[in-house]
Amino acid sequence: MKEKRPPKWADKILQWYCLEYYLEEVQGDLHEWYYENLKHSSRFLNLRYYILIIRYFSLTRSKSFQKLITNPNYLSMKKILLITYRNLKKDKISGFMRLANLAFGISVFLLALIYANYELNYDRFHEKGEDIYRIGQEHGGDRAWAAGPIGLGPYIMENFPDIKKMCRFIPVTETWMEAGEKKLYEDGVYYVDSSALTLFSHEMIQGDKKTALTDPWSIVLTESMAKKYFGDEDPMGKTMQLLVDRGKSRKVTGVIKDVPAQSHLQFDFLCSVYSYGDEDFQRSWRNYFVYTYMEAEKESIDKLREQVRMAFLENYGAPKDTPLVAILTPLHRIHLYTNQEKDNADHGNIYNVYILFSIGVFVLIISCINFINLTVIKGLDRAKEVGLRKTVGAFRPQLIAQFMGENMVLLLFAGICSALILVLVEPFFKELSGLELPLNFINNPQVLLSLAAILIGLELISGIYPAVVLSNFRPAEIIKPLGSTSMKLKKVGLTRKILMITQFSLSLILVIGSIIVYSQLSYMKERDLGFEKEQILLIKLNYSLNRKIEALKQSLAETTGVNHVTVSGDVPGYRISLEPMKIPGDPEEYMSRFLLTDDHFIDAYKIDIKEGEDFNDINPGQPQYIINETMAALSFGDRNPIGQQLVWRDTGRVVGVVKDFNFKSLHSEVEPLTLVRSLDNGYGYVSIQFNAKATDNVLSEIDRISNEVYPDLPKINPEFLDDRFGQLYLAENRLQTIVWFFCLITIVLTISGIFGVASYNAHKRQKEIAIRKVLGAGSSEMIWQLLKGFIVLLGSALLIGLPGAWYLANWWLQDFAYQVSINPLIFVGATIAMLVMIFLSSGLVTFKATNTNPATILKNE
Amino acid sequence: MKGTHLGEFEELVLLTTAVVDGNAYTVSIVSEIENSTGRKLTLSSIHTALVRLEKKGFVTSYMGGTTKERGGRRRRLYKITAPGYAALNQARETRTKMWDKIPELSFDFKGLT
Repeated sequence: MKEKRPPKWADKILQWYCLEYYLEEVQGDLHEWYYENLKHSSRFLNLRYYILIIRYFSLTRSKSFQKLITNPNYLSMKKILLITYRNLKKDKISGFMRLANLAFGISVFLLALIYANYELNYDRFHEKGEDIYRIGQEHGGDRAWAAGPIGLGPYIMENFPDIKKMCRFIPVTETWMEAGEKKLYEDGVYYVDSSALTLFSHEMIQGDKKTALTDPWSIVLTESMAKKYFGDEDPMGKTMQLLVDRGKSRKVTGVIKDVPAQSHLQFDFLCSVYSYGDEDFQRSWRNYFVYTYMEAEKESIDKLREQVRMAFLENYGAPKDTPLVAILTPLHRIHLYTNQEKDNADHGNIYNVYILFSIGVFVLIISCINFINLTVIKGLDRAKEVGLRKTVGAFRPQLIAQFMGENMVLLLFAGICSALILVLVEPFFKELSGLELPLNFINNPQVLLSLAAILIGLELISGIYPAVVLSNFRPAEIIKPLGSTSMKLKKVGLTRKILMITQFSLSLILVIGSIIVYSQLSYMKERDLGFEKEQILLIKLNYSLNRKIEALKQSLAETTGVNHVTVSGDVPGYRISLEPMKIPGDPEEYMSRFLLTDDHFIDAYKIDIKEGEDFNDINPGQPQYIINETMAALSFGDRNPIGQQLVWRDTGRVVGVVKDFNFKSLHSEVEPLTLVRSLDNGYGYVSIQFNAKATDNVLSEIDRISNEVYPDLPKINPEFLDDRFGQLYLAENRLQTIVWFFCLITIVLTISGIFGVASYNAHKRQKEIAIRKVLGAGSSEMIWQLLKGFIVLLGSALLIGLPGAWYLANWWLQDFAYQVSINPLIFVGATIAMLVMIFLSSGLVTFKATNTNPATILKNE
Repeated sequence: MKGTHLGEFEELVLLTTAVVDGNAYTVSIVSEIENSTGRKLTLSSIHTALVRLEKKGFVTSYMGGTTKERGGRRRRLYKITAPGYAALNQARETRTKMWDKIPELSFDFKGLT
């Protein structure tokens, strides 16, 4: 029989992990144990041997662990951590202030970064996003149009092989949906080509991407809509009716995930476009309401732009030199960079991104300066430590490593704190700003990476300076100060002064900037638009409501509390259509906003008539026009417009000129406007001007009338006009809140900066103060002595901050059609605010210093 | 140096080291403990305790001779030091003191019935 020996592999494991120092002894012991046990029982001996070897594994005997803890880097790191901990413990307030400053600064910066990241990443979830363009056009330098004719898509698809895919999106403005018992108004309905689901990358939950929309009577809906209409039942194959389909029903052939918030195109239902009008209509060019998207390689875009232009010209029969340009907007640019006519995209504003991002950077700089100042100030107290270390034999790099290591520890801690702050602030911020920002960035690698980059950057910026300054002290000079050290300390003082001035300037700019942003935004919201928007209710009309429009008007007019009822094609606050107007004998076309109304519009909206009069009943066969001042100046120049002829479809006369009123938001200037009396309106709106006191009554009456006049339709859902205007200023409202939020943080940071420097100054000069006091100086005199330095700094900061703020404010304001005039009092106010901050924060510290009994300070000498 | 407190297990190992003085190494300590107390212990736990005791300064070690079973590998012999002896003594004294303080106990719980 072969002699039994300890298994070789077990020994190898031991040799692999075990420290050399113990190996011989342990292995010997193990072998001895093995042979000893072999005598008694050899059952499972090898297995037991293995187990024993595994049990022998411990950190004290592990090779790699022992290597780690004897590594000099590990040892010095351990030392740095220890000293950092001791220093923080020694001066908790200063440590806390430094940490809080950094954490705040980083949080604000990250917030701005996440916001910018969010806005810049619109429409990035489409796989082919880089190659998708929306086709629009621009005529003779007018504003570009986002929408185009319905025939454009099929035409370019058939004629230009460079276009890989095309998809039309036709919005259905006002419709209801019916499924089983449920019948509700919806506004996220689009007719689309079957390519919609393959061109764009919306995730399909049920159904097939390629075939879901090929049947003319198919419909695809989002997850939440499926839930809304069918609850937990399987929606596939169910039928739905749409108002616009006039009685025919559609089959659900697919369910997609809800459209992500970061998409310029928001929809709930996609219907197949092939049921939208007949073949001739599908190819017609005389309409402008279709958004056409196409996919093509980047290289072919220039060629395609020219081809699409020619397609337009050919189909309109226009000469080749017509100043028409095809505009191919890359998908990613639609959200932030476009402002096109007839666009229903979810728009952001690149300026807001710039503003918030620069605020983020400013706040970060301010907090860094605070951090640097506080670190250097704190460090000066450690001059003796540095001197002693050097005497004992520390080299300068070691000292720099020590200081930078301390900063790194603080920075890492601040980074963790700011992540926590953001997570905590998320629901609060969402409420305030209405933005669904993903502030919890733990699983957002982009933001995490930038956080790491920020920390390293901050370490380099705010860590090196103090480290170099502090490690530069010479032992002899510190222990026995001579001329040169006080020079050096003065130099430290100079840099610190420059930092303080920078900080004051930035704070001034931020405070003034926030006030100006705020006043501009409230100016826009509160400016008199030139018509009554407060007590107006809107009812959107549609095909089925329109059939009994007279009855509806009649019942509404009879309601108590209702002053005027008017029907019009469009209303202020929503897009008003744009039409060419002509004057007989003048070849020019005048583009004007165009409003079909009845007799009551001017009264209901309380628009001022400047010249002429309201619509009248003289000569009812001929159209009557009322134009605004801008249109009068554009088309008639100096001539008196009253009684002039104007042509839309038929020639008519201008009966009145109204004062310009802002029928859009104040983002844009008043455009030419023409009102036409029309007795049979197309779809549009009913506007109800009512008495504020009777609001409740009017609303309940509308409910009752809705049931009475339209028993088989969903309930009418009126909208307040000023709510609509509120929506137009949504972006501004958000910006306003965010700007205030950041401004507040700036102020807090500035105060903490002043507080830190002031307490240091007071501390350094406490002996001087005590002696002065003994010699008879009053408290107020000494407070002044200490404040003087700050006032000088503020004075210099004013020289930079005020012009800077003025320049930036003007840069920002120039983009607005209506600008608030910059009130010089804002500048005075901000200066006074800074002074108050300085007085309060440094005064408090100083007051404490001057009120101490001189004996307590002087007895230490 | 870490605390010099002597744990129950360490005390046992240290005691055994003193008992088998001159031939105290992991294997011999294991068998001695098994013989005198019946506790079956693994080599590794004894070794860990010895390493810890050495760090505390209660034992010293030196490399000793070898046998055939060990395949030529020397054994590390452990020897109790003066501080180790003092620590053992102190532990015993503490115990004695505590024993002396125990009042007469009755275990017949009559009061409960």
